[in-house]
Amino acid sequence: MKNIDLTYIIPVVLIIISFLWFVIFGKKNIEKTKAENPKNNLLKNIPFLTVIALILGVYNISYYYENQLTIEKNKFLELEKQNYLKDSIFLNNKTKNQTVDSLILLDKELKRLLTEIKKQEKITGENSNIKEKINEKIFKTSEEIGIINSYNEIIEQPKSLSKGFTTSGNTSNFTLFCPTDKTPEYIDLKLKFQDEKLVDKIACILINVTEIKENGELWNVFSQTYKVQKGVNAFKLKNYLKTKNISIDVGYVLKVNIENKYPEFEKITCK
Amino acid sequence: MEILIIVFGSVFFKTWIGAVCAHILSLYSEEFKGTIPFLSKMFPNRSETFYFRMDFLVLPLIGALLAFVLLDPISLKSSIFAGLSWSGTLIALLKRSNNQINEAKE
Repeated sequence: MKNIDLTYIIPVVLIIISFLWFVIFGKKNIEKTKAENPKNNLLKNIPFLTVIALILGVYNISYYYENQLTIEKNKFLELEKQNYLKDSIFLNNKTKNQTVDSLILLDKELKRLLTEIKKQEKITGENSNIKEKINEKIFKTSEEIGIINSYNEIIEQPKSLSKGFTTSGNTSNFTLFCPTDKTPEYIDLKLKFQDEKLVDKIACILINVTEIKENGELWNVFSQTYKVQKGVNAFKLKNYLKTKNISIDVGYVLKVNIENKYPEFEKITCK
Repeated sequence: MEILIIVFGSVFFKTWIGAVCAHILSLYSEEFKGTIPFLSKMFPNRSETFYFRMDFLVLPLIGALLAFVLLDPISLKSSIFAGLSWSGTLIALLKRSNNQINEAKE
């Protein structure tokens, strides 16, 4: 409760007391009291003054809370413009975590605004329009947090992998749909293991982008390791497939092989 | 506590407060009899205090109900003034009809 609320609450309490006073004692007894105190104008005028105080209190509190509502609406308009979900945030853990933190803060602020507006509704009346918009934004924010968290966490590449790895043809232990649209700036790769029990045995997921030069040389363009997760494993990458002669290898290395000199890399290649 | 907040924060309560305000203001008019002539016919041979109490309970309630149903107030300001104005209108109508009854009696 704020101090300004008292400008309304005190007159309301006095009005209720006056009401009970009139109902309990009746007009006759009140007139008797007045007759006994003929000079006491204050006693006579208390109900009238209370009504005036209530009217002034109502104007005061309404003006204050309408102003507050405008401030809250403007705050929301500023928050509504904020857009944290960018493709580039998935490229490193630091930006990804910062974005999640910003979204959590945004979510908290939106919930605070909603509670404030709900409280103010008692004075200003229903504000379903703005409440609906805030609820939509809260939903969108939690959805964005969900999207970010659904992407696999980037982990430091094991030293054994930096030296190289052995690989054979495409594996059938997981399904991966290679992107067909080569125009976007970023691409989504999603893989799902056929047998979920395999997840516990995996050390890391590796994405390796290689360019085949005209002379036949292989150039490593991008290499990143990710923590494996159950269900869908999702990754966002720059669309290297825009360039010619690029292949993206997506696969995993087992825990039992990770310490080997050239660990075995089970993969599917997208071209 | 929560029930009290719901009751005191409700639009009807605020409209009723407005109606009570109008009734309190009407007490400053000596001529105004409110629903007392009607009540004295409905419940004859009761004390003057009884009629006054009943009038004080009934009139703001009717005023608040009329304002609540007809004006459908939403905010604090509109609720209080709906109660005040509808009760005021009711008081004015009753005052006029009561005067007509008195004139007819004379």
